Amino acid sequence: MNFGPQHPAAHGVLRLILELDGEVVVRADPHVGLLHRGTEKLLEQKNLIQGLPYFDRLDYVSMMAYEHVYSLGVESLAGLEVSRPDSYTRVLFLELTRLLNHLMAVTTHALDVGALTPFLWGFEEREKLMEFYERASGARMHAAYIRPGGVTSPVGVHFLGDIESFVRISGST
Amino acid sequence: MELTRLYPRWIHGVFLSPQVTLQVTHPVELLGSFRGVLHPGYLVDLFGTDYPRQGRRTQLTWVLWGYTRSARVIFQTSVGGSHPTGTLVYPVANWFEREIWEMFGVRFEGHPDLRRLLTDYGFVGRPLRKDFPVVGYLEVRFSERAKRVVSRGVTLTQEFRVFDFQSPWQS
Repeated sequence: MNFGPQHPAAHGVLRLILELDGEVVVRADPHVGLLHRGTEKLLEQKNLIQGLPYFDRLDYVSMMAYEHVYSLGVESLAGLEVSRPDSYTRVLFLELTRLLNHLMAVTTHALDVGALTPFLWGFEEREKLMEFYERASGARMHAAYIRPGGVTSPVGVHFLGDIESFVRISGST
Repeated sequence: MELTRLYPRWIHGVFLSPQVTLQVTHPVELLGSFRGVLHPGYLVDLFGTDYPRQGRRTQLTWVLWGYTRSARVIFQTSVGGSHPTGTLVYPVANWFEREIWEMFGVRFEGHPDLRRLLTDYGFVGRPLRKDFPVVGYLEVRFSERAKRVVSRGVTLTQEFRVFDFQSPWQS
């Protein structure tokens, strides 16, 4: 029996050829390449800075985590050292990214098991987090902010204060 | 270490996990023995790299991780057209080897199910070899006449452009 790729539970990216015995799946042959975008091949044509924005798009709920992985790879290849302020900014944004993807994962899981409201509340907080992204880089999601050698531009003192008030308010309940 | 000095209350010691890269000729035998050495070892990744100027052009890299020893062992070897499979030691190598087969054309001898994994149905070519063009050879479109999606040779409506103004290796 064919399952997907247009099945609503398959998100359009997975096709399974299933062998069934009644309702029991005896054997499954997954076809997983429907979302394969050939990022490795595309990066062959790019220099190291141009390659960075692809990593936002590999995991579009933890963008900066992937930027950071790529930047660390380039830095260890080139033997670059990141300045201390940039390093702290990175950690700050990685933690914001962690909030971002956990809010997504936990609340949509609640949605899948039938609870709608946490999803709405969680996404309100995600919007606030993405405003921090936007203030730092100009983009809500695909920030291209953490780059090989540091970050695009430093954040100001007011920015840090706003993150603190966000943490106080959102973390208090 | 600097970290223990900075945070003496929280960090009491620093343990750097060891990592070693080994150039080997018969990695599959070593995979089996290192599974015990790392007790247990996990195959984290297996990937290919293309070096078109070498005779044995595909370099295979196995990345093993040992949870209890917190150690990383990396095996590298260069292969031509075929290589014995590692699926008997690590079943997780199945899809990795299928991917390398379709992307680089390395045939893994003894693999239980060596088919294409990620590319389109009926795809021709070895896309991650360096001599494969980035736009590929075939494109798909909907044919009004046949009432289905058909593939044909790639036609570009504008010339292929590379925006690389910084690289010192190309003009």
